[in-house]
Amino acid sequence: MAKITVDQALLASHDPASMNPLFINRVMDVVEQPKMNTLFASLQRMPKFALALAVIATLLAVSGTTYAAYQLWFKPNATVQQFGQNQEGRNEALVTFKNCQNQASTRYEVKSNASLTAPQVEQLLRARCEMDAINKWALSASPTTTEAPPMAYPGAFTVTKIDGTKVSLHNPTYDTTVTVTEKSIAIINGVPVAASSIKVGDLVTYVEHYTYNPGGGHPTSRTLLAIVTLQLPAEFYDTTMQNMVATRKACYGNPTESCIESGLIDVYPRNGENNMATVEPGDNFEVQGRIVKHDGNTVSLRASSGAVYTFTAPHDVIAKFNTENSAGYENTKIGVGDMLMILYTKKQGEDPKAIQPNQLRSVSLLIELISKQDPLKKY
Amino acid sequence: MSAMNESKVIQRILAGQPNAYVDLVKRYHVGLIIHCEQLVKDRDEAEDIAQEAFIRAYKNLKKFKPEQSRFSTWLYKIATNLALDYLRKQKRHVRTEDIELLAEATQPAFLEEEQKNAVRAAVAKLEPPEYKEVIEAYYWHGQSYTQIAQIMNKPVSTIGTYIRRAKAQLKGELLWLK
Repeated sequence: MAKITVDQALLASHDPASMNPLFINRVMDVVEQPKMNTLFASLQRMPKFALALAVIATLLAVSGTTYAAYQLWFKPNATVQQFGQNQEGRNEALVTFKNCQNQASTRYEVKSNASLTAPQVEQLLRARCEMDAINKWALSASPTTTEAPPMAYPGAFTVTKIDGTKVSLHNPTYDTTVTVTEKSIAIINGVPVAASSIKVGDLVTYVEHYTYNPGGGHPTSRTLLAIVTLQLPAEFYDTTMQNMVATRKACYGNPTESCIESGLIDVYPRNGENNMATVEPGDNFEVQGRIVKHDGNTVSLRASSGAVYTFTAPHDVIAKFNTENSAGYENTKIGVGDMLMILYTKKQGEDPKAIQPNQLRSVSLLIELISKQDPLKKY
Repeated sequence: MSAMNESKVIQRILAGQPNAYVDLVKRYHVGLIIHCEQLVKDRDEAEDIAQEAFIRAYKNLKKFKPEQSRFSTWLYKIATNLALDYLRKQKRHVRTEDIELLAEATQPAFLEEEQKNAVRAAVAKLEPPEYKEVIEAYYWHGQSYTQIAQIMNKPVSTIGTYIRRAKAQLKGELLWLK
């Protein structure tokens, strides 16, 4: 018999109580929703009156506990475990999730020009999870012939009028009318019901399926798949509000450093510079840090851990940006104290903190970005 | 769980008891996440890929042929393919010749109860006690190096060192290990 490794023995010897419950719950939440897609597919094929009868029959037949089996998704939850200032002097939340499939991280930073409390961050992330759940369902419910996967409109609407099959929807930036067909359903609290269950005053989003000409361009037709009631106040679904929180993760290749998901301005390469052929192949690395020294082609950055990373570019990329490109960015100049993100390659065993010109893939300036209309502001 | 018990769990799931799948998720999730992280070098992505692999394995369980492979080999193959797809989309390279060895190394062994107890006793005796903490957190609680580093307020590189040294101690204590 082959000998067992230490890793294999350790992985086999865990105490049954010591687990990663968050991960297990996420898998089992999906596994224990019996034949969700099949149910939906059959609901979709039913005429509206039959669907209404099926829903009534279902409601009559099932008890409160087994009713959950007909959930298309479960109510997501996000809980802020810690909230306080990080090394950048910004508020940061450490968050755990339940019934949320796509959370990108457990650390979320509140942007400097936003003021959100911990409960607001929770609501905002719950709204994000809810939209993710709707979009995931939309993908599974999409007709197989679709060219573009259906998605929920990113924002909340109030139902203002229902006139036969026409449902009028209002949002502060966009008013629209959707047409209910025999393929359309409503989803209330994650449960599929007849589209006629929607009423004036409901807070909703909608999912449409678009078809296009083979050559692309604008959609040639749109079909309403579902009107979905939303669970939280409208402002938390707003894209501007959603942009007030950014994900903070370990930097790729440099797990001791943290990197923020932020708006970026290209510093190098740009203006036709092509370094694809000159960059050495190797493992990819990412790091973000504030400039502590700029000496011609060589720039030093202090990253989140306090470590200093020094890169040497083929030319003085900062001076070049400041003279040739600054005008296109409201005369933004780059200097000591500004936050850069660099991507680079390294071979195994090489010092990841000293980057040579033939290892430098790109240099970008981090900016604050909540709304495209905002004046440009460095991170 | 023995190989025989695993086969019974699979039969129960196929007989309409989806909640039995939790036994397989509990047994394999930590190792599978570690395997995916070794491939994609990103813990969050690794967890997403491992999650998707479990869901795909569940949905395709009827196609699983126990006479041809262990469930874990099949599950890890699904995860490996998902990881490779992810890396291709990211235009990143990975050396595929070592993948099967990597996968094998992170699959929990079928141990007798007394062997498990011996491993647990050896972990409990690790010195200094920080070694015990990191081993439990990484292999049993499914925490990443970064999470452990945050909890213990140590650099991530120190966690790696602790784990290497702890494993060396365990090998010295448990002579039946490779």
